[in-house]
Amino acid sequence: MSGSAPTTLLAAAAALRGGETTAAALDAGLRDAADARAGDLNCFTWRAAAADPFPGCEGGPPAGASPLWGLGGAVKANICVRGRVADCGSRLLAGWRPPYQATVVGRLREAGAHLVGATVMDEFGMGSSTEHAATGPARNPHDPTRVPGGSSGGAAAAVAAGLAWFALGSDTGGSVRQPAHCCGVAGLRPTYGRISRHGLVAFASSLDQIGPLARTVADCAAVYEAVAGHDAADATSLRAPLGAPLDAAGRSAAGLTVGVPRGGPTPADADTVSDFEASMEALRAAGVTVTDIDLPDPDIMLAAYTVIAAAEVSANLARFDGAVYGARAVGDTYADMVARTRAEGFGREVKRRILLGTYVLSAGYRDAYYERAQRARRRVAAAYAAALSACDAIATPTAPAAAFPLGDKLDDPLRMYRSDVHTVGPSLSGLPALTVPTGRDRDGLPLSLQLTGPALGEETLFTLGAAVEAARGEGGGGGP
Amino acid sequence: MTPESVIGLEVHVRLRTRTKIFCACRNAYGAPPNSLTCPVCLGLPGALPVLNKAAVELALRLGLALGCRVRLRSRFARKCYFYPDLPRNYQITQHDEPLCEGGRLEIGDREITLERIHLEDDAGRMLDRAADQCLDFNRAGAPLAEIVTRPDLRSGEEARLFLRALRRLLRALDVCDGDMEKGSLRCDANISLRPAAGAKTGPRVELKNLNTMRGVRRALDHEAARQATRLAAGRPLVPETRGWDARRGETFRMRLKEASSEYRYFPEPDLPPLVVDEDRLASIRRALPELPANRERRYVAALGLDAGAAATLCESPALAAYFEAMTRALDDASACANWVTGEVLRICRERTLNAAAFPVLPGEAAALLRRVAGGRLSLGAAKSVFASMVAEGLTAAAALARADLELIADRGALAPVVDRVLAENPDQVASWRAGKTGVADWLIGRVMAATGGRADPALVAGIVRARLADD
Amino acid sequence: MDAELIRRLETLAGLSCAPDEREALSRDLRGIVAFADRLAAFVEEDAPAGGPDDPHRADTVGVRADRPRPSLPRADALSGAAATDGDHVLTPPLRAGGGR
Repeated sequence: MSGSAPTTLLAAAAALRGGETTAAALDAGLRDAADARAGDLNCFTWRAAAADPFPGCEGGPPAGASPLWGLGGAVKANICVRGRVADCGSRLLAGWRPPYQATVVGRLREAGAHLVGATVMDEFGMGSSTEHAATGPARNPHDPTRVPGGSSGGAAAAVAAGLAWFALGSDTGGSVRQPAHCCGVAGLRPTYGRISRHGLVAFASSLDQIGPLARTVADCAAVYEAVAGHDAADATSLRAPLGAPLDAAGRSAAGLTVGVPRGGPTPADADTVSDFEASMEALRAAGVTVTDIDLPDPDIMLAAYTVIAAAEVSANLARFDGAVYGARAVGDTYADMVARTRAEGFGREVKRRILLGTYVLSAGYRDAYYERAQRARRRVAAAYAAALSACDAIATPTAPAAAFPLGDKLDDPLRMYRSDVHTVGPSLSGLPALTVPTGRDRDGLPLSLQLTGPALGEETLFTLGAAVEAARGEGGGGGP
Repeated sequence: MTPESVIGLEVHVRLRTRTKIFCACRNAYGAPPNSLTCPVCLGLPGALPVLNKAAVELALRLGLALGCRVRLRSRFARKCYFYPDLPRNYQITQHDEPLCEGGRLEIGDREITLERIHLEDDAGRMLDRAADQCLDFNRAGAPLAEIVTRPDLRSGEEARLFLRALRRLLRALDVCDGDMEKGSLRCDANISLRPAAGAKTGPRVELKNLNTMRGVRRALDHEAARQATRLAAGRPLVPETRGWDARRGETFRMRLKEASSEYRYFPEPDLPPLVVDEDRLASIRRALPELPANRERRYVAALGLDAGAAATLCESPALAAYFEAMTRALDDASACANWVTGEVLRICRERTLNAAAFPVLPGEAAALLRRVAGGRLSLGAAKSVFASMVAEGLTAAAALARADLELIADRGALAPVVDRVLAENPDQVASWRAGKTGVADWLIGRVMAATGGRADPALVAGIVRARLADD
Repeated sequence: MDAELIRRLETLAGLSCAPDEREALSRDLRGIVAFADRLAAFVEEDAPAGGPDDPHRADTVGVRADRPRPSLPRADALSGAAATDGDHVLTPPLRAGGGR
């Protein structure tokens, strides 16, 4: 990155307001960076052409404009943009252009932002490495032999490499947070219902949330503010007011309390443990009290998540039969068409989850798996609520280690699922969780801290996250 | 003994809302194919269902009128199966926690109990062509209330009566027009036989493709006979789904039923629990109109109408309203009932009118009938006056004045006509004297004809008989 | 969890796998299901059906008024379909050779 060029969204916004640069110049900068790196990183499924117009080509932001005004961001390829390909990382939806737009895309445009492209993802959101993308894996900008995390890997890579000022990903069991961790950027999973799912191709409906990824915690807060809030088109969306998330990122964390699991941040490798402890030190130095809390058994959380997500996705993906949309395979009969379309269009991981979901819902197995998992979910949510009665936020690692090498976990699905062991708890409980980039491991790969808050507690997360970042982060978000 | 038929019905009522149940597309019939769709009802990836308040309102109206227990908190569920007319390959319905439970509907002197009523979305339509299938999703997402009866029905005729009573109620509540031909009311039936009193019922057969009320009766009767024949011959029956071929008059196998269809129901995560406010429920209950069955009973008990007239009047709330308005102007329920079930209904049918749009106000019809009651107008004359009121929009007074059809009730005017008729028909008079008293009616008829039907018939009859007796 | 069960699940799930794929999937699922069996260690409790209910979700009414909005133009609705006749989406018949 050259000398005084802004490296964060908020710095770019300030530069626009101050007349130091123009939206067109900033966009050209993104474009140049993308021309240089997007191919190697394989993070985009489509990129906006240079000629595509966007508001604010001339002049500066009007008074009171959102910090996103004039800035280019990316959306994950499962978020519908009218007339643009939303392939969800799947062969089945290759070339599919939705005839409608996601609510969040409309809100970005209202804020004055524009899209630089859509990002590569694990097929339909299933994966933790973006290796299950039909158009090939995306790569980690810090080390191209490593995964960028998943399923929003392309989004995290694009932000980390400076190819977009922000991105919108989707998080079901950690799919915004874990890639943010792998690529050294900030990522938020909001309270369930805070950000509209209208136009987000569903993976597991009771777990999915769209979440922002950006260089810094404050950047994340700015994007969150622009897109969050009630949407009549999503019956699960919340009416509660947002408060002042961006302001919260600037507030002192002194006096807040953070809870850490009594047994320590396990499972975690040595570098993750020492990074975690450094983050706790930083919080204490900022006037935050650190106390012990108890979290449920991680295996139980992972098992419950795996069962529930599979059950819901088996129904959500049933619509992909080749009739009204999607790459249709030839068949003599309707059933033939359906079976072949899905056999040819879906990858292995997706088939695994659909079959698992069908299994756990079918008669004879339903009580042992689906019903039990739902009960477990309620207990997990109660345990988190109990822990949060003793603290303002819970601190854990985002993942047990830094980004792993490509191909490392493809042989055993369970090993891949375990990447999410720290992130599924907040998902099951519907709670907000923020991944804050912190330090590096011995190989120079990013590490992070995950902060989980009470329902509607995003402001607290931004305050605490900014405090950790100030003490530990590399200022501008640690670009590679 | 003849085995007893044990019959239950599953009735789908398409609710009369303006928009579909989970999206804001119009809920309309007959639109050009695929012109009433949106991402939600097409099942496009990323689109989410949002519940239509009015669908809940109408379902509650129906549930309360049928005496159901309403769940203040019910849930939607996904019912998963693959079919071309199902955009998401799952239906959004209600399973474990339906909106209404219990309830009953009377048919004659029997009470048919209900299992439940729940909300769900309709599928699209499939048209078969030889080489392929055409899909039209206009109907996908239409709001349905599914009514499931307990297996209380005992014959095809009872099933038909149930559907008639239900249709009448649906119309009275303004919840649905109950038109099976149009498809706003659809019915599947389940039938099994109980071979002997106290014995277990045999395997259950589901009947589909029942497109008319008559078809329901015929199909059930046919199926009962088919099953009884097999039973008597010792041949096995299996649980299956059979279609009704109205042309051939027989049922045919569509598919066998495996142990249980594997629908893998689970609570719909895209929709929060449906919570019904107690106050809202109370106000819907208060706003219920008089139920047709109650009205029918009232007409018989309080107004003294015969059962047939009461039933006909209560077929349509508009007809009943017309009748009641007439009785407020003319205190003779029977006469009003006869007039409404006679002339008014006949003209409605001839002109395909709803009684609410009838061109003669009930008050004017009553005014006309008052003349008949007062003996100044014959019923026959009244009918033709009424016809001119209908055709030309005249009031009773104007039409009567125009027709000058007041009865001739003047003895002085009638006596000469009677004398002339008797003089012109000496053979008939001789017949009467010979003991054939019935001839008097013929002679009365001749006098009536001679006066163009305008004479007071009772007066004429009196004069004729008196004259005959005199001579 | 054997190939036979996978075949039944495939039918329900509208999938059809090649035999070697089925073998691999059956292996994978055995492992995942064995992991999911850990849920059994959780004490059974009486809990109501349905998902978790949270106080902050109490005002999620999520219903809408019965007001029509414009539908998609037919061309948009059919734009993703592999086969149409201009008015309808076309698919192969339910039974080979047509008819039901």
